[in-house]
Parts: sequence; C-alpha cells; structure tokens
Amino acid sequence: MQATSTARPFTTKKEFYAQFKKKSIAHELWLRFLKNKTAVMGLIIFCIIVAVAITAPWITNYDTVVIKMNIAERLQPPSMNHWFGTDELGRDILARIVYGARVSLVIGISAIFVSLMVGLVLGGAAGYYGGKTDSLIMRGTDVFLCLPDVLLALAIIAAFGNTKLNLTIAIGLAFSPKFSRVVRSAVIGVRDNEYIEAARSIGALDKRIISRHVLPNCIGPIIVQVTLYVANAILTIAALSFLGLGIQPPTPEWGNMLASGRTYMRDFPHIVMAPGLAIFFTILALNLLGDGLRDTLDPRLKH
Amino acid sequence: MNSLGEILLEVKNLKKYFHVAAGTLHAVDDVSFTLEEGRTLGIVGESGCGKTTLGRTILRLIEPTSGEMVFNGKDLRKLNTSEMRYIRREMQIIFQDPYSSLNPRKTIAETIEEPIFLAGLIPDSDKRFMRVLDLMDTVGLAQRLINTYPHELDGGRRQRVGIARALAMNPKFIVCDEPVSSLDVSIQAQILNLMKTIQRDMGITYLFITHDLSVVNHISDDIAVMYLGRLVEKAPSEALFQKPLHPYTEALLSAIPVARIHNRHERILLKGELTSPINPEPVCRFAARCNQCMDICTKEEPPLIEARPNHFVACHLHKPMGS
Amino acid sequence: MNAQQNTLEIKNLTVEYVVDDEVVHAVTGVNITIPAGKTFGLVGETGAGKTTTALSILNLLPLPAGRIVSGEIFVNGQDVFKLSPKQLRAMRGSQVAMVFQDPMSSLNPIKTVGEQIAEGMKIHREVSDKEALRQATNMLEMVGIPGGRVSEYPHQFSGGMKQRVIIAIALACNPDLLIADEPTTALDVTIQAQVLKLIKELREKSPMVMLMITHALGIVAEVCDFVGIMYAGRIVECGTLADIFDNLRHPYTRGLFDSLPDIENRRAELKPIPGLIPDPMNLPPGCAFHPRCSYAKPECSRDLPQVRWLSDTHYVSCHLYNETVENML
Repeated sequence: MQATSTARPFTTKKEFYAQFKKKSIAHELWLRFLKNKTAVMGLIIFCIIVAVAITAPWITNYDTVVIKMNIAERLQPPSMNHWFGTDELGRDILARIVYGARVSLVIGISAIFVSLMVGLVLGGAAGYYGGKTDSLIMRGTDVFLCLPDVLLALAIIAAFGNTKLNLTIAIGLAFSPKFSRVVRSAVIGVRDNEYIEAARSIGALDKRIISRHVLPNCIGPIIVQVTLYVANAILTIAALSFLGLGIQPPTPEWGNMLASGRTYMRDFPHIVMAPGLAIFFTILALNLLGDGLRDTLDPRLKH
Repeated sequence: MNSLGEILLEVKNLKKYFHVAAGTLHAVDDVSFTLEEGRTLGIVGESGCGKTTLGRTILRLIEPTSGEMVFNGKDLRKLNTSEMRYIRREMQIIFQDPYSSLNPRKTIAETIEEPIFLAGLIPDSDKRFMRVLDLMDTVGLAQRLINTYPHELDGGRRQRVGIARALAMNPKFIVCDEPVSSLDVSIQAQILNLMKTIQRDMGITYLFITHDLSVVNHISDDIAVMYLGRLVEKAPSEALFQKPLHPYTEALLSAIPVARIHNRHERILLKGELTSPINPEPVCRFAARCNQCMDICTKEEPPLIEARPNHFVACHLHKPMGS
Repeated sequence: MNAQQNTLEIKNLTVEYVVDDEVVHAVTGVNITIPAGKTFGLVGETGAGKTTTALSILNLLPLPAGRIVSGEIFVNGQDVFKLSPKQLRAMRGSQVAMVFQDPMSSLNPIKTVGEQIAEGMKIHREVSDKEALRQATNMLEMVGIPGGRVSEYPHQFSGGMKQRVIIAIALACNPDLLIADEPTTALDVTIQAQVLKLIKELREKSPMVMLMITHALGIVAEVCDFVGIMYAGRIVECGTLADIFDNLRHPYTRGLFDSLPDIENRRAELKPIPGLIPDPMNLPPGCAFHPRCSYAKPECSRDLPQVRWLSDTHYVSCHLYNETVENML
C-alpha cells in the first residue's frame, strides 16, 4: 500500500528534520540537573578547579615560582604576597597547588579514560553474551579486584619504573575491573528489553546491537561512575605520591606536598592545610556531581 | 513466488526444551501445523502454554531443540547466519510491550528506518526517508511525529511504530506476539482494524499470538489452542467457537467474560491449577483438570488427529474422521 | 437516603497531582454511593481516575504530589477526611480493605501466607497468635485453598492462588467495604473465572460492600449491581446494571461497548472510538470527550455538561440530555 494520503510539504530529509525538530533529551536533563542545588555546587567547584588547572601557566611561572627554592622566605604563613604562605623551601604554596591540580586532573582523568575503554569492552562482552564468556571475564576481573589499588599500582611502578605514563597505566588497570562490573550490570539491565530482540529480528549484527542499542542506553550509570572513579583516582595518586611512589618532588602534587609538609605540621600547619583542602574540595565536588548525575539520570523519575 | 492460498509456513514436530535446575522444561512440545499465504492463524493459550516461545522459535530468535520450520520452501534450520539474516526480511515480528519494544534513545523515524537501512534496500537517504513517511502513513502516524521519542507517545502510537518497523522490509509473514494486550480497549480496536487493513492491502500472513479469545476470533481465519506446550486443538475460527472439541477449549471459551446481562451461560470451571511443564509424564497433560477425564487419559498421550474436516484435536474423546 | 444506610458515600471528590509545577486533574467532582450488600463497578480506561478515587477513600494518595482539593468521603457515616491518623489506621484493614492488581508485589515474600493473613487480625482485634493462626487457616479454606498451606510462602503459590491469598488477607477482619482494583486483570482467563466465582460467593454470604475497579465490561456484568463510567476524571454515566447494559446514554459508554469484539459476529468490523485518551495535564475545554464524540455539538467544546437524572438510579453527564430524557444515541 503506497497510498500517500497526506501531502508532502518537502522532498528532502533535511527539510523535514528542520521543520520537525528533535526534542533535545540533553537539554531536558540539563534543566533537571539544575534543580539539584548541591549537584550544581559540585559542578561549579569542579569547573573552578579545572579552570585553575588550565590557566596555571598564566597565573604563575613554573620555573621561578613553583620549583625554585627561596630559603629566605621559607615557612611564611599566609600573607598578601603569598596567599597560602610558603613551604619549607620558600616556594609559594598557592602556585604549587595550582600546578598540582594539573597533575592530579590530567593523570586522574586519563587513567579513568583508559579503564573506561577497557571496561566497556570487557563488561560489554560479559553482559551481552553471558554464559561462559561472562564467567571467564568476570573471574579474570575478580583476580584484579582482590588487589588493593595502591598495591597494584605499587607493583607496576616497582616493575616498570616511576613515570607519569606508568602511573596512569597502573591506575587505569586498577580501575578496569571495577568499570567492567559497572558496565556489565548496566548491560544486563538493558539486554532483556524487547527492542534488543527487535534489533536482532531486523537483521542487525551483534556489533551494531551493542554499540547502537545497548551501550547508548547504559550511559546513565556509567557516567555517574566515571565522576566517582575520577575522584578515587585522584585520591589514589595523592596516596601514592604521599608514600613517595607517585609524583616525585620537586614536581608539585598534593600528595607529595602533604608528605614533605608533615614534619613541619605542628608549628606551621598552613603547609599541609592547603593541599589537604585542595584534595578535600576536589573529591567533594566530584562526589556531589556524581550523586547529582545519578539523581538526574534515574530512570524511575522519567515520566 | 507463492500466490495466495499456497502454503507459506510449515512447522513440523517443533520442540523447544529448556534445561532448568529441576529438570527439562518442555516449553514447546511437538507442535505441527501449516499456514497458507494471506491467512491468519491465531495461537491461543494461557500463561505457560508456550505460545510466545513458539513464535520466537519459528523465527529462530530462539534456537529450536528439534523439528523443522519450512518457510517459503526453505528449511530455516539449515540456513547459516547470513542466509538467515537475509530471509528475516520476509519474516518479521510485532512485540507485545509497546514500552520496551522501542529503543528509548532513537526517534521513531530512526527506529522505522533502521531495518530498511540494514537491508540495503534503498541506498539513497532521502528516498529512504520518504519510505519511512509512507510507512508512517500506512500505520496512521502523523508526519510531525518523525522526531519524537517513544516516551513522548502513548501505548497505541508506540505500537503503531512497532507495526511500521515490522512492515519496513515488506515482509510476507509477521508473528504478532500479543500486539494489543497492553492497550486500552478503545485503542485495541483501532490497532486491530489497522492490522486487518494492512493484511488485506498487502497480502501479509499473520501468526497472531494472544490469550484473549474475543480478539483472536475477530482477526484469525484459523485458531490453534495450546496447553502446556502441546497443540490441543486447531480449527477454522467459526468451527472452534461453535463446536469446540477439546474440553480445555470448551472451558476457555466459557470463561470469556461477556459484556451482556441477559442470556448468560453457566461457566465451565476447571479444577485446580496448571501442572508442571518440567519433565511431564507421557499422558494427557490436561487430565488432572479435565471434567471428562477417562482412564486412558492418565495412561496415554493423545495424538493430534483430524476429527472433522480441517478440525484437529488431541483428545481421547475423539476419533479420527472415518474410523 | 439516610447516610447510615450507605456504607460508602463519596461526594464531589476532586483530586489533583502536582508534579514539577504541572497540575494533573486526576479526579473531578466524583459522586459514588453504595448501599449495604451491593457492588459498584467503576469502569474506565487508563488515566480515567479510578485508582485515584479508590486510594482517596483511605487517604492513601501518594505524597507529596497527591492532593485532595475538595469533597467528602463517608465510610459507614464517618467522614474519612476528618479522622485522626490513629482513627484512619484503625479503619484501614478492619472496616475498609483493599485488593490491588498485581498479586506478585502485594505479598511480602519473606512472610508465610498465614502470618500475612493473621497480621491484620492482630492489629485490629485482640486475638492470641494461636487463635489468629486458626482463623487464618479458616480464611484460606474460605477462598478455596487447602488450610494446610497456611505456613507456606508466597513464591510457592501460582498467580491465581496468590490473588486468593490477597483476598483472604483483605477479608480477614470482616471489612464493611472491599475495594478491588483490577483484581483479575493479571490472571489467565480460566483462573479469572475461578476468582470471579469466589468473589460472587463471598458477596452472597455477607453484607460486605464492594467497589470493583475494572476496564472490562464483561467482569462488571458478572459481579456488579451498579456501574459508573469514568472518563478523564469524571463520572460520565452511572446507574444500575440494567441501566447501563440495556439503556446506555453516553456516547463514550456507547463507544466502549462498540469497541469490544463481538464473539457472535466475528466478521463485523470493530468500531473503535477515534482519537486518543486526553492528556490529564491538558484536558480539552468543555466536555473532555468532545474531540472524540460523533454526537458533539457546539456547546460541548465550551461548557461542562451538567449531571442529568434520567431515573431514580440512572444519571448521565452529557449535553445531549440537556432538554430531554429520551435516548439520543
């Protein structure tokens, strides 16, 4: 039956799409997100941190201010010259915090990106195919899950050397099994829907079904986990650096700043407070953001 | 090319068993029937009878345990994956739940376009889109809805999208798995009328699966009744309703709530509940609940026989024609 | 009519849901009266407001969205909205009991059925555990389940039996009013027949009043004495069984009956009601049914139709009957 009883005002798809626009799901979600005050606060704080990290070279000079020792000005409390004071080698703490942000964010986000990619592949396959594939992959990831992140990263750094790249890979590997689990459970939640079966019935191949039908519907829980795991990753980097294994001085990192400031903590608390608060606010912001995203994307609240 | 009236689908001794902790679940147990082109076969039964599994097994969305499905002369079980994908164009399915059968992240135009795109039938993007519009016309969806998402539409419209998707590749055969059960009564009627019109205009063959006897009567030429995985009766619709042969069919028909306050009939009530489909005994599966149960029913499984012209039943109460 | 004679009286009930600053007019101006011993069938499709009406009786509307805007509900003469929370709790389960649609989620999976039946008894009456168990066993027998199964768990029962258990729980304290919200919709048709027969038997044995919510006219014909047809939050027609089945007047009621496949006449084309059920957030002006009505007149899109009594028992809310009581369909 090819009867076209309705007149066609246009002849191209483009014209039709221009006339009858898609409702933007993203826009609606954004509006819903905005209603959550704490989540917005988290987003703002995180954006400030990112902005600070990006503009670091314009705020302060790395060589002269961040690394160069200046014994004459050591251990000064916060003042107009040095907003956060100076550390045990006379360096401006604020400048070091700002550069520390770069390190934490870059490594943290890259590491989580790596583990997300691994998690999507492994978790997607395990969740979609089930059965033996699922068992095999899950038992494999279970092995990694048994190891504490710090210990795993330790092992890799000890074996392959202490570089930023290795640190990223180590943390990436530590979080991969966690992501695999998250992706797997999201996929399982989606895979039994009839539209997946429908896709099979119209001749779609597994690859297409997973990438176009399954994963796009799993984004919600995955995005939430990304923000929360970035927080975890930053914490892990700080912990490793604190222990002397991650970022080495004189490169500023919040963790190693805590470590070197420890000895002076009693008389000059400002040295540890600044990096401590930096870590605190970053983790807080990411957690608020993650919780807010979870509430926004909660499918039960949809219509 | 088959013409109307020729056999399009032949199902022979189809079985689908599932292995569960307690044993083997006989979901579909030795079902056989033929379906002529352009006609509608209704598959009726209550929960646990295997009708949904039957529909999906015929399309090989679930792999059968044994038996044959011969579609348009081709044995479906012998086809490899890519041959199966190719023949899928001619065999489509409409799902029951209008809420979970559409991808929530695709607009309805994208959902309807996908099968056409995958089959490579219309390479030109604009022409393909025009076909999507044609399909939307056919199922009664307004053009302005092209970029809406499923959650913006009600159940009836979503089901129309499902129908348009099934029609997109111009199939010969559509399995309709309870397509109107989730819809309100006034919308059900609209969708049923639509499906009948489409069948008339496009010569499509339907396998209509439902638990609702009044609906199946309306749309089917022939009706097959399933109970615990077995086909217990098959006949043209009028014959089934006027003179049901199997006691289960009788009870089923009498149980339909009638919207009338005069001339109400006495209900035949069944005893007890469904027996288990796991490791069933080789006896009549309905015997425990049957009010006409005889001794032989608890000892032997009744075969499907033709008791009247074109009227098949699996029951010891009846003898094959001419004997 | 003396208010004491009517077990349930709903007067001019109006309920709204407020979601994200949008108002859903779920129920508007609903009146329902059920005298002792009778069953009232509330019929309508999705979104008509039937469940909201039922939940309002026990003040069980989901908060914070649900809001009773106006109206009164009397159960056995008591004004439900004026009861204290304590009195309301005392009423729920003992005077008014409710049976919901989905038997799967209405039962607590970690308690035996006996415990769940006995729970109501222990809350509302002074009975020892032993006595409560004995009565629970009796209740099971009454709904057609062997008493020995009183110590089994819900998952050991099939769908139809679960629904019987739920009926047993509802009846445990001998309520005056039973509200049944689509009690058989989730069941197979042969099981539905069994459960409906049970409901009819129970009805005959006691003066209990029942409010049966359903979309199926066939079920109404089987168990109800009175029928109310709901559309977009209002009752558009109401009367005895004979009034509605033999002498229906509202175009929507006509449409509902016409939409049903006729077993006797399979060849006939179904006559569906054109159009869609209106969006409760965006009801059409005037009579909510007018966009789909083949009898619509100019005033239908402007003014709300008034309630018109056609007989002692039968009323309809439709502009066709502004001047006459003759059947205009």
